[in-house]
Amino acid sequence: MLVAEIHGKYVAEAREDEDYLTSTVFGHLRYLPPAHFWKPFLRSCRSLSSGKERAGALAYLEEQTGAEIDAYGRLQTIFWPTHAKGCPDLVLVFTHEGLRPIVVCIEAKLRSGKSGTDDRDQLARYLQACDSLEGFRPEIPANSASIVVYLTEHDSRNELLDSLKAYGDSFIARRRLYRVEWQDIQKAAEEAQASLEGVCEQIARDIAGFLRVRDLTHFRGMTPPPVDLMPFDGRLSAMAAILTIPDIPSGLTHICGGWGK
Amino acid sequence: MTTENGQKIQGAIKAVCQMHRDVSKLLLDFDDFAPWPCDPVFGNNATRDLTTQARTKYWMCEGVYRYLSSKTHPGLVEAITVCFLEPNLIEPLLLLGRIQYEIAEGATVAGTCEPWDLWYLYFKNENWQSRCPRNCPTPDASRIKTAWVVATPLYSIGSLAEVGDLLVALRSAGAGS
Repeated sequence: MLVAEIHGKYVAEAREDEDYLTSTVFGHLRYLPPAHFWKPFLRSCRSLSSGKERAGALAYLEEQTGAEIDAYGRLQTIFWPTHAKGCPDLVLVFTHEGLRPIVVCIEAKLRSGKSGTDDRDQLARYLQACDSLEGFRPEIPANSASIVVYLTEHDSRNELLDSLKAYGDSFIARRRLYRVEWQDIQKAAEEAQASLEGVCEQIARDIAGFLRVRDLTHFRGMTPPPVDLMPFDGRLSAMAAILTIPDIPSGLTHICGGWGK
Repeated sequence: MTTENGQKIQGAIKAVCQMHRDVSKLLLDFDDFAPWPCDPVFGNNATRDLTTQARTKYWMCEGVYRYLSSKTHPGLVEAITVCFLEPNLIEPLLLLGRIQYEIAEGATVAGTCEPWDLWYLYFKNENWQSRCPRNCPTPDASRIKTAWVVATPLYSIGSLAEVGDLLVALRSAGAGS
């Protein structure tokens, strides 16, 4: 389906399905080695800072493990694992002999927000799940450094704040809960292409293209308007009469009351 | 069942929708340029003062904005505004601003900053040069201590990096003020 969508062939119902999106994207990304795509991805996972610092997930995990993500040789991706606290969309497990494992618990959304409030808050429950990693099935290393990542299309700051309140807001909790956007994955995949070769480069290229077709990209400059809207005098001919009306009221003057003192 | 003018208008409407889509991304990506931990002053609202009334000249928003207040420098705000519709505009305009507010005792940035501040800072001054940061004195708005603004035609922006460069120039120009 990934290649079909890149070429404009898709099933409309599937396009809005976040599980489909998650499995399509991460089902391919799991074949990329930790050193390439995953480093920029984790760097772009942002916490709600608690004061003066702006910490990303990469810095936190490197601090917790004493190792750079490049050093990890194996990545295991577990889709929809189970835990008494809930069933996140995906858990990434980075392992390497002699290094403390890393667990990244991902909840992905497309159009919707997280589910549950207060003690049923989805992200708060996943933070609790990461407090007891031994409860996951399939099993994952219980001594891992763990974080929860909320993957959305929208700005999820307020949702994270609510989750922190539900879990118990603290400096440490803020450093374990992150937000990232599909647009960041698109950017990371695009950037990873340059350092990858062969099949891995093709995977990164396909993911970047797939998300671009879905319009899940960051700002890439203003899109030029179609040429046929531009008659010789530089105005939209059909709209010229509207655009040149001298008394277009400024809502800012009439509604807002003007400049505040 | 088509008309030439109708098709042109339809094309124009679609172009406006595409512009909104691009600008929406720009507003949110603006967050990543903040040099300090910040909060969006107006949350995820990007515009206001739209009418839903049947009797009106138009329903389109005149501009959109996003203001980020520093958590580490009280009263300091970096803001982006895109102006779509104003009698003096000949094309959509991008404004970036770095504003130091005078926060009265017991007041907040959210209560002091107004969403169209950057808009007014631009239109109350004349002779702007594209991409040249300017100090904008505000003798009639004591809640603003200092304000530096840079303006450029929206459609001159070809990448996010250009916006970053404008912000760097803005901060350099305003340093020490």
